[in-house]
Amino acid sequence: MKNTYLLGIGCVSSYGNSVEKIWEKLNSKKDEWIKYGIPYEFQCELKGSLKRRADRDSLIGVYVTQESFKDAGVTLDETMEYQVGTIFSSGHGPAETNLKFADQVSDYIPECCSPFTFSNTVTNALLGYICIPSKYKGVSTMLYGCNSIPFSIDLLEEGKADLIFAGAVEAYCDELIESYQKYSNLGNKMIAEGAVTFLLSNNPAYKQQSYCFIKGCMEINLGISVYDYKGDKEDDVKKRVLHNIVKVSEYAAEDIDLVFTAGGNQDFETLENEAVKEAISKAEIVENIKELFGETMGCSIHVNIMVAALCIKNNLIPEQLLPVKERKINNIIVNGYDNLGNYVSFLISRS
Amino acid sequence: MNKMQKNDRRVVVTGMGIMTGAGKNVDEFYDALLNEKTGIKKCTIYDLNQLASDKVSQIDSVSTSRPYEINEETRLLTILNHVLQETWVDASLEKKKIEALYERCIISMGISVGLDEYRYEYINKKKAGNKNLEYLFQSPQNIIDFIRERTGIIGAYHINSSACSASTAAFGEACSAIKNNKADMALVLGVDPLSEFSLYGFNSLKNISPEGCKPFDKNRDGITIGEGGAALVLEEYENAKKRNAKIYAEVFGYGMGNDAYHVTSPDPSGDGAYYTMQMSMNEAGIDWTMLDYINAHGTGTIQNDSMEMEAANRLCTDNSHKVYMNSTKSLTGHCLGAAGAVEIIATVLAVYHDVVFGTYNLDECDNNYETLVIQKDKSKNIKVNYAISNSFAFAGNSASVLIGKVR
Repeated sequence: MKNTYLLGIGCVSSYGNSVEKIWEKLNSKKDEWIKYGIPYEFQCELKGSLKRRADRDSLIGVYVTQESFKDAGVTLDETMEYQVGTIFSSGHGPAETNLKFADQVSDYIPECCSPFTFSNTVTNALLGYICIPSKYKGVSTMLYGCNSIPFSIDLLEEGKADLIFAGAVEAYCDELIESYQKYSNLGNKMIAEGAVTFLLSNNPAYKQQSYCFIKGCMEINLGISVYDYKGDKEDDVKKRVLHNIVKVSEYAAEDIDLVFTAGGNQDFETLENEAVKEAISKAEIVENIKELFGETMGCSIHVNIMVAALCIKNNLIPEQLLPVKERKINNIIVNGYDNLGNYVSFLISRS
Repeated sequence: MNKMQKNDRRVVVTGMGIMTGAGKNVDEFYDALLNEKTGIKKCTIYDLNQLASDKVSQIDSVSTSRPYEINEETRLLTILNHVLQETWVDASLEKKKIEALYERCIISMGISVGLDEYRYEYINKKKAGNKNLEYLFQSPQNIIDFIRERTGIIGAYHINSSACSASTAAFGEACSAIKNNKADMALVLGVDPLSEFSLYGFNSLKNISPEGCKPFDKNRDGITIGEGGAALVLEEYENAKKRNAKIYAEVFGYGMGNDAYHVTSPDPSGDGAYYTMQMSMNEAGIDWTMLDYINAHGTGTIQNDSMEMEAANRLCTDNSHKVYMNSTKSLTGHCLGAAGAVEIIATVLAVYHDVVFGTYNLDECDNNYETLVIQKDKSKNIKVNYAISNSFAFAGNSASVLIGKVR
């Protein structure tokens, strides 16, 4: 597998809507007034009828993609339109819009069913709004519940694209948040909106300007829902987490310096930490990303990778993550899970 | 076009299962394709009198319908159950053997409106004064738990939700996972049930055919919604040979793209569709003179069918070789997220049995081409070495898969 370079990052999160703001906030004293469970501010550049038609899910997707492009500093021309792909994912898609249309249908009055609302209920609607203004005509698809990065890596590996915007969007929906607050058992973690897009490429010409590169990736299904995990099938789950981390660590030529855990509730965190220590005893563990950023559901894996990439680029682990001390930050294993029960591990390395 | 990388790993189809309004297993489906037995008729599970049409392709043998309690089997799960059983038997697979493959056996699934079964239930119950947020929390976990229990698959579970191209894209993703040595086996699924959500939704777009779709016909007037489930087992070729699996066909390539034109309508130039078909052919290392058959997206709308004929005709640069094209949607209806998998099975059957299928309900084609033959009449026996299956969706997503006889 070739190295996949992470060139640019765009984001909307509880810590801010740019990588600069996020890094600044991570390096300052933790702000007790960070708000979760609300829609965050952002301003995307979308004009005319597209802006009028788009829902929040699409607008946020457009914003984080535009920001990742600006952040990457890559130049595109017309000849590249079929070489730029858009592979996105979401845990629950445009939930707010789907509930709105379901409400319209349930009255059984056809005239009350809006075609604009219906056309935005498809999870991939945001891809239209992203691709139309910028003419991104390359490989493009939408994943649900699972993460967009493994497939993006495959497509780059096969030469089906030169650049891919690999995004994850979990736009605000108050009833969805309410459902997680009621039925998940995530302890002190708050549910939060999140959207992150990475601009990826495996062209070594981009190595110098990249944040880091993804050297390896492993996925396995845990057979459980981590969001309401109650300690059942513990041996099996731990075995699978351990298997995944060991396998991805085999991509590293040198020692693993840090492991970012996926996190979750107390039961899962205990199990995961045990597996990490068994797999890589010398690595330090960063285990509080969800406590800081909130549980961002389908965006959580991207949030973890974003923070790891910032740490590698800046050669620093902020005090909010680990006590400050001199340490090597060359190889980080970043773990995450999604709402289909997949546990995914990435090896992120310094370029 | 990007320079695609080749490696030695090959992908073959070793099992199939299907359930549609035009056949509730592979044999019945094949019979429907050969003899143009349509599943389109009056809907009996929902009252559609207020809509532009009450015609759908419905699976009569599935009685499951709303309302659904939490953890109760939904219409989607009933269809899925049937399809999984047929596929596992056809592929000679057992749950224990699959579990032993650990992360080397994965799932790649395409769904669209089926993801809204629980959401729609939530809204209806909420309006009746019985708000139950568990419906929102459990979706799509209920689908994953169902599949996991029946198949034993431990590898990655991926759902593709790119609307009408979902299961074709899911098929492509599974191929990539096998080719890039992330998996040795993949279960590709496509499923979408009939739902009021989609029926009222497409009605709002005013593109429903009153009497049943007529793909490519000069008087075509819209789509007909269908429901269905389809599954294919993909395997790495050497592994399939080692276990003496029955091999239906080989997968040689796939293409994906985005029209970047309009949120709901396809680019009339056909550029996007042409690009994805060409991408699949480039990966396969074939040119158009080796292509025998295209299973079209062929929805029956003026825009889609015109665009698709334009794009397919553009592949054929002279009249030295004929390429046949048909649409199966006048038999199965448009199965939305399941359409891709349903039509890939039709394409595999075309390759396996050396037959191109007709287009039911097509009286007179919009256009006449010298090289591209829109197969109007009943099926025709010809050698089918290579065939493409197309799917095009809202938001500009397109996907094409190229299948052929094992090399």
